[in-house]
Amino acid sequence: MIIQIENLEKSFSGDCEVIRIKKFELGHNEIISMYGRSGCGKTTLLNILSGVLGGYSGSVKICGTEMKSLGERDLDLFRAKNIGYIFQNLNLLQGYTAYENLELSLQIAGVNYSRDGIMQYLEIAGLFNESGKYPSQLSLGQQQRIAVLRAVMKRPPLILADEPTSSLDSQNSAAVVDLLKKSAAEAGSALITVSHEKDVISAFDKKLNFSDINMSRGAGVLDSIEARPCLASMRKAGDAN
Amino acid sequence: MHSSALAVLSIAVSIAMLTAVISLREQTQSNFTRIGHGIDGVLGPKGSPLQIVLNAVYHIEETPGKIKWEYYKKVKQDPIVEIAVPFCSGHSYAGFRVNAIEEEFFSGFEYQPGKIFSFKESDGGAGRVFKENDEAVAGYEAAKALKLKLGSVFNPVCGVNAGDPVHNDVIKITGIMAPTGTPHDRAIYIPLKAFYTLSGHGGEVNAMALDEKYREISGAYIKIRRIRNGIMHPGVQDLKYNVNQSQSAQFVVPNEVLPRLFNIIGWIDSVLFIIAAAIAVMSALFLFSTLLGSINQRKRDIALIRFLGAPRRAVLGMVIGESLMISMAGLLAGLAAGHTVVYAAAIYINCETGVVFSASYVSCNEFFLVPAVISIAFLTSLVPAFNAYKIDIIKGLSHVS
Repeated sequence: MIIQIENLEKSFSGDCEVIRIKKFELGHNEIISMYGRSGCGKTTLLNILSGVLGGYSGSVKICGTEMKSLGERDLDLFRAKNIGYIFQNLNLLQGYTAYENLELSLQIAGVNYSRDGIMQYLEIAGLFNESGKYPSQLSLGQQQRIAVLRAVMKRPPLILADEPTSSLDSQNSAAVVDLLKKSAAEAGSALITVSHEKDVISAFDKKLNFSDINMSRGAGVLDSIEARPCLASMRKAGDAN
Repeated sequence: MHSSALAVLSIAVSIAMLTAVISLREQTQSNFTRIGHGIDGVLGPKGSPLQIVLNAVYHIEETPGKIKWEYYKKVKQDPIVEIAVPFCSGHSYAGFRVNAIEEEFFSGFEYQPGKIFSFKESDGGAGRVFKENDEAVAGYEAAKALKLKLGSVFNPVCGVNAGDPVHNDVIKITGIMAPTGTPHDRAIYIPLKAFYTLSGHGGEVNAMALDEKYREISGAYIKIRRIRNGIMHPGVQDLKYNVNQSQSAQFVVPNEVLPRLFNIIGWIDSVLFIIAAAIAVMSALFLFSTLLGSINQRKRDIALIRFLGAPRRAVLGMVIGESLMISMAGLLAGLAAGHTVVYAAAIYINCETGVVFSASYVSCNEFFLVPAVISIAFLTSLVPAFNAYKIDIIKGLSHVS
């Protein structure tokens, strides 16, 4: 299994429970889309899976490694090698070209690479001629395709995509989802794509309603007036989704 | 990027000033001291010793008076005096001094230990020493500036100021001195006796050419005998004392007078040094604020790099490295600019005094600038680097710059 979750509970500021997952597993090469209402804790789960959010109870194993058992440096290394992550937007380094964004990610992960290899990926994504451009010179769709390449090029066992198409039009959205699915399959990576867009969700064979695995009573009501103090504490923690 | 460029510029300005001040100060002292070695002493009239040195050695002041030829001869006969070359100053041509001097100046006088004036073409000179009263030799820089060649003629000016009368005598250039890198390059020399016979000087002065009893000179370059290994004969102190006790002249040692000059003008480079140091401090503060602002602007980028797996210490190193790169760029630009300033100053100093300064002169102190700049860059970057080190990934990624 790539992901093994048991009795995961995550709360913000004491009583505000966001996630309670009894058991969740994701196998090798498994590709799913995960959907759910805004504020139901999807991004929180991705942050826990990627190792940047701690303070939870229960067990989270990625590739058989208990995430809690890793120190910060080991966690950085583990994330660099095993997890590819695609953010909603603004996720490229602005001072680096498209090529350099990809190269830096591979360097940090300690993956062997060649210029030709990177250029081949860029060609697949239709960005061969954009390699020397900075993010500000690229369209949002092009930026997001670079972000997809950055996540998949190091061939991690797990790719997490958090609303990767939310800022794109339907044409670019379809192109990014297509690239994501194909690249993940080609790299042999498991993939969780979180989205609330019907077109994106329906593009995947396996779909998971986050509410089916998240038993938290607070989940899904973060947008309600009653839950605003809870939302505020999450935002304070930088984890508002 | 813009503020980084400004940080590089401000560091470069301070380094350039420091480099130029250090280089000019050290070259001034070594050059002027070296030139002083060529002349152990100047026998001159009573008056300001500094004025005598500037007039006799650097050709940039007026002589405070005259001394009697007979007194000069008396000093010359002192057993510790090896050479005593009399001269008369007070004439000029097109802004360059025309000094009357004895021929011995060109054959026996060492302007630097072991070096005498040369007219050889292989050394850059031409022609020969003057023989007649209507002949002259020109220093290398003077000839170059005035486009004087062998056979060129000129009329000397009676005085050193604009508007002074011109003598009718036509003097012909018979020799161009090879470059020496000393103020002598910027003078024209005529025979001593020619001075007294120049038309318009009047009978009293003309008589000086014929009768030594009435003859007067501006001064004489004195070379003292060496006892061994280039050490000056200790009797120079007695000679100096005796001459200075007399009513006729004074014995001025350039190496004693020039440090006094440096003391007088020393405050200038001290002030420049303080200004440069103040700019350096401001540069460090500017670098500090640039880095701090840059970290704040790039919180999201740094968080992203951390998310990609870069450890905190890599981020720490990145900021320190950035500070070092900015500082080293400023250092290199500053060194280049500083030496360019010295180059420009060298041209000016050479024009004014004939002393040769080198833009490629590298002071030992410049080597201290490298570790100093690295240390300051390191210390300046610590707080910004620690701020970057502390950036939380999730908070950083939610930061919109």
